Amino acid sequence: MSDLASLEQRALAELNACKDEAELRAWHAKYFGKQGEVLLAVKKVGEVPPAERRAYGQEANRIKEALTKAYEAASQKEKEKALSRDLESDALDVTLPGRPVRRGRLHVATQDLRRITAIFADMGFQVYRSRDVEDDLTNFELLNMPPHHPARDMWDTFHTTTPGVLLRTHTSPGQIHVMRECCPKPIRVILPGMCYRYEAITARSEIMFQQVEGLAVGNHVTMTDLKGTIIAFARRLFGKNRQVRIRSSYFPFTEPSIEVDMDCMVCSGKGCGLCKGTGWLEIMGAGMVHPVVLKNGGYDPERFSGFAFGMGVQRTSMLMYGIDDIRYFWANDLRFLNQF
Amino acid sequence: MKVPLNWLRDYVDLPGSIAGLVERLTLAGLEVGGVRLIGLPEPEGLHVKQEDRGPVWPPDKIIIGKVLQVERHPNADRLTLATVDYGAGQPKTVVTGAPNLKVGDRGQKVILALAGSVLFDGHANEKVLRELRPNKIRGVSSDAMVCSAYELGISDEHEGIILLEDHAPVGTPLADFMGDTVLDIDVLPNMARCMSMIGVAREVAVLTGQTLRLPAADLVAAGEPVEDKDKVQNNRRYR
Repeated sequence: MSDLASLEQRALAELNACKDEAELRAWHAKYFGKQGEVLLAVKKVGEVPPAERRAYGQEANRIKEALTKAYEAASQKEKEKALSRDLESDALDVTLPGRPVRRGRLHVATQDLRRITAIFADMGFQVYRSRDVEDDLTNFELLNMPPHHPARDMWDTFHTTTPGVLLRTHTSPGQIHVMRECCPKPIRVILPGMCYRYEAITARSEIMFQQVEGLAVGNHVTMTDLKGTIIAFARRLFGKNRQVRIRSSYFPFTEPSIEVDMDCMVCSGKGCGLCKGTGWLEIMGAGMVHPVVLKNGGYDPERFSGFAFGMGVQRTSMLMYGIDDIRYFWANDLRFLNQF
Repeated sequence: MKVPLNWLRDYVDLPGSIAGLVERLTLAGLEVGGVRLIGLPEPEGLHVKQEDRGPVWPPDKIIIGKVLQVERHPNADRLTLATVDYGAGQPKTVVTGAPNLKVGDRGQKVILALAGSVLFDGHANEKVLRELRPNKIRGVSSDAMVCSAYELGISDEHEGIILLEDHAPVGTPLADFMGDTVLDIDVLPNMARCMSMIGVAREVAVLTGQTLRLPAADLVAAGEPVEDKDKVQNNRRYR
C-alpha cells in the first residue's frame, strides 16, 4: 500500500513540474503508456495476497483516476496558455489602413505609339490595323520582291511550317491591304503594329518590335508632301527646332527611296555619344510608292502617286529617353517600366 | 564593303577632305557605316569610333628598316639581338623575341619603332597603348623595337614581327608606306555594282567630277569557244 502512495506522490510532483506540452506528453507515456507505471500497478493486483486484494484494487483505481484527472487538468491549462500566447503574438490590428493596391500604367511602347498616332491623326491620317501573320505574297511579292529577289536578304524572316505563311517582317504588307480595300479613293493612313525578325537579340535588335507605317495615295502626292509630313512630325515629337536631312537609300517598294536623319537633340549636330559623333540620328525610312506596288494595290500609277514611310517605335523611344538597350522593352522589369 | 582609300586612289583622284567624301557617299546612298584608321590620325571633321582607331605612326619614329645581322642574346635563349639599318645615322641594335627572326638572318625588311612611339603593348593581357621607352633586357640595353601587326594596330595577329616585301624602301616612314583609311560602306541591294573597288571608284568619280582610271585589261582570246557549254539558269531581271 505504501508503494501506491509513494507512486501517487511522485507522479503528482512530476506532473506539477511539467512546463510545456512535450513534457506533459512524456509524463503521460511514463505513467500511462503501455509499460506505464500506473497501469502496471493496477495489473499487479493479482499478485497481492487475497486479504489485501480488495483494498489494493480500490486504492490503485482511485490513484489511476485521480492522476488521469490531474493530467487532463494540467494539459487543459497548458492548451489555454498556448492559445493565449498565440493570440498575443499574432494580434492583428484591424484598424490599420489596408495596403494600397499597386496601380498599373500603360507600357512605354503603348504610350509612345499613342503619342505618334496622335500626331499623325492631327494631320488627317487614319489608323488601319493589319494582320501579324502574313503570306509571302503580301509581305514580299506584291511589294515588288519576287522570289529570289536580292533585297529579300534585308529581312530575316520567321517562316511557319505552312509554306508561304510567315510573321510579317515589316508593316508594309498593310499597304497592299489598305489599297485593295480603298481603291480608287485617295488614302491617308498609318499602320501601327508588331513586326517579327529572325535575328539574334542584341542591344540594337529584337525579334519583335513595333513599327508605324504611313501611306498616302492620291492624284498629286509628291516628294515635297512626304518631306513636309516628316518634318512636321519630327518637330512635333522631338522639338520645334529639329532639322531633318534626307539621304538616298533603297527599299524595293519605293522609288526613289530615302532615309531620314534628324539632327541630334542632345548635341544639336555637334557630335556626341548618342549620335556616335555624326551629329545625325536616323529616324525613319521612306520614299515614293513604287509603280509596281501601286498597281498591285489596284491604282493606276499613271494617274496616282503616293508616299510611304516606316519607323520603329522602340527605336524612337530609345532616342527620346536615351535608352541604350532595346531588350529592356519586353523584359518586364518594373524598375524600367516604372520610369515611364 | 571595306574600301581602303589607298587602293581606291589607284582608280580615281579623291578630294582633300575625307569627311567630305564620307558625307557625299552617305547622301548618295552608299552609307559609310564606319571608318577604320591604320596608323593615321583622325581626319579633320570626321568622328572615328574608339575601337576603329589604332596607334598613330609618327613619321619620325616608326620607320622601315633592313636587318643587317641577327646575333644570339648573351643572357637569354629565347631572345636575339637584331641590328637594323633604318636609313639614318647608326644602325640600331634591338632585343627581340620574334620567332621569325633567327640567328644568322639578314636582309629582311622590318618595321622599326624608336623610343617615344606609342603602340599596343604586346605583353599586356588587354589591349592598351603604351609608350616605348629605352630599356635594359637581360643586361642588354635596347631603345627601339621591331614591331608585330598587333603592336601596330593592324590586326590581332601576334605571331612574330611583320616582314615586309623586298621592295619596301628603307628609311621611309611606315605611315607613308602602309598607313591607310578604310571606309566600311553598307552596300544596299540596288547598289550591287559597288561591291568592287572599281564600282566604288566609278561612283566616287561621278559624285566628285573626277575621271575614272580603269586598269588596262589586255585579254587575249585563246582556247576553244565556250558558247553552248552551259545555259544560264536564272536570268531574271528585277526592276
